Amino acid sequence: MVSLRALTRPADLAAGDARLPGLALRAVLLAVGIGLAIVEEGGSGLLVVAIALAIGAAWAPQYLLGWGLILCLGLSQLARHDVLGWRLLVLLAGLHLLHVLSLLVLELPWRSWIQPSVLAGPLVRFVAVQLPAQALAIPTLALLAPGGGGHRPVTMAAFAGVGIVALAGLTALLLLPPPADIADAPGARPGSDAGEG
Amino acid sequence: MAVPPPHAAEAAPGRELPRWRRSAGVPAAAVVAVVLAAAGLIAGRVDLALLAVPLVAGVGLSWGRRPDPSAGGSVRLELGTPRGAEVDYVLSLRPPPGVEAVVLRQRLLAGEAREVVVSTAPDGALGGTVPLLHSGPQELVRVEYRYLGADAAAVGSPHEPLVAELVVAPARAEVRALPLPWRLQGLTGSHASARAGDGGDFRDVHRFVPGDRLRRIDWKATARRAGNAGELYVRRTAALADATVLLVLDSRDDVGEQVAEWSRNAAATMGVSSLDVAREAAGSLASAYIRAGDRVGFQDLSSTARMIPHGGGNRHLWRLLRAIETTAPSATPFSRHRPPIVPPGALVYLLSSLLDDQAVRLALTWRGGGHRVVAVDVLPAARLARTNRYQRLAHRVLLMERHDRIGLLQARGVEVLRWPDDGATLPRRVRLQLLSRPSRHGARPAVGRW
Repeated sequence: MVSLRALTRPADLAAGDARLPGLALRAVLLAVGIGLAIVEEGGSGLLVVAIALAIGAAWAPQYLLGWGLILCLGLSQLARHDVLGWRLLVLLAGLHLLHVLSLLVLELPWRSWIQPSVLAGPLVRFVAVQLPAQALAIPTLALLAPGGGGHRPVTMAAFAGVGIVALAGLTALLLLPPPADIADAPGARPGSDAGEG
Repeated sequence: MAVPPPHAAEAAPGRELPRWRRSAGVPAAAVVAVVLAAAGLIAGRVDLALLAVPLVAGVGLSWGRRPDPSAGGSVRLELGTPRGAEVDYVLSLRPPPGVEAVVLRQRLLAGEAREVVVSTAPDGALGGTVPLLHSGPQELVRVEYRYLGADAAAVGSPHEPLVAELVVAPARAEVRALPLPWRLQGLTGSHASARAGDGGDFRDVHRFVPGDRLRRIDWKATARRAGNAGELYVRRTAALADATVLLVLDSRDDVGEQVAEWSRNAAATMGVSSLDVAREAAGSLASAYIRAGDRVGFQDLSSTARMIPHGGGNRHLWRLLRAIETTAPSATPFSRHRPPIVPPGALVYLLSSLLDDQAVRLALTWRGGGHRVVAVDVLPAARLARTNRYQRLAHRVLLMERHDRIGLLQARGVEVLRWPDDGATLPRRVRLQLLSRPSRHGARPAVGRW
């Protein structure tokens, strides 16, 4: 008969190096959100709103407050001149990082333990997007943003038509319902096959 | 804890394709990107439009890498060969292409759930060890899982949980002294009965009657006692007989030694449970009686399906042991209006924690019918660690009621045998020897009864 002395705590799933707590992602999201809020909204009244959104995004990601924070920080640019500077480049990277973290936080359980390799893919894609985005931002701002005297090297009107078409295409691309193959795939019917999971 | 059979258990792989859904963050990011781009266009601010670019690119990149919905993977949960008091398990992950992470929610011994997010590296066989803390049927590992696509933009539906179960055979204690029924009714066996016959020890000297063998004539006794030449005396021996034993296992409740865990009864923390003790006692008694050539039956009070009529032999012993080790508490309250039928002259063992009156009522019914009844107390010694004063008070009240029941049983002639060797009383071996001795108070053993 087993005695109580033989009672051992059940071993964890030996998932090797799953040593990153799910809460750490939320902490990073909170830190990035608050950091960007301070950088962008340093002296304005929107700082409180941005910090509240950051806390909400980390605390209850199911309310999608992370994207509210992105929108808030992005639109706060309207209060500044569109000059090429480090602040805009940081914001460009920060908002993207907020988006990636919000997606992860939304789906990963906060009580879970995460293998660091799980974050390798998102990190690689973040870098892969940021490099061309930053490379695009610098010449674009250099060309389209006004210089010190308020003069724009290239007028915005020249790009307005292209912009409208691009915006319409972007809207259609992002907001259309998912492809039919997702919803009507054979796998969508439960129990349609055996031996597969 | 006995080593369970090596064929143990193997969970079936998941049998359905994952249903994929788009994360709520994808349309949210799309809306934000559109709003930023529109604001930039309306306000003539290229920097706002630039802020939308990584969002669009990120969403497009992650959604474009979503897994193929028609592709299925496989996840397999297997138990290894038990090693002593623990068993290994292996979780083999083979997710469909496009899956970047798997969210696993595992529960060991029906305890607290733990969640792990793992990547889908090709070496992805995960595993661990589960201690075998209890006998009987038990759920060792339960794994639920769902797949995540790139950046968690595509989320798979949760799959049916994979469950690894095992039936662990109870330990078996050696029982040397076997209490016997009041009356042995079998015609052959290993126990000396009160009936005259062959095989047993010397019984008495009796006058020769037709049917007695001539070689049994005791000439010295005849010379001493015979009144005339035709009067002869024979030496008679006792006949051997087998006993009929019925093991009645009260599996309606299963409480552990940790009183603080009685309300939750989690396998990992409850300690040795009353059913662990009951299975060990039932298995040990069944083995000992069958080895002695007796006939043993089994009855589970919470299930009419687990009823085995009395019989003997090795094959019957395996049936008994299988029935005993698969005994589990019933999820529904169970009350008997009529007690199980007991073979005539049988010795009844009632294995119970005696925490309610039903077992006592059954024991008294059998005792009133003339059977010898031994109530085997299987409640393990209580451990009161982490209990509060209310739990201690409730436990004390329960024990007082139980003590009254035991007193009632003993007053009505039901013998009580405490099975756990917890040091509070005599060793179990001695207690069994005491039960096996001839009693001077009416309750006499088979020898000399007739």
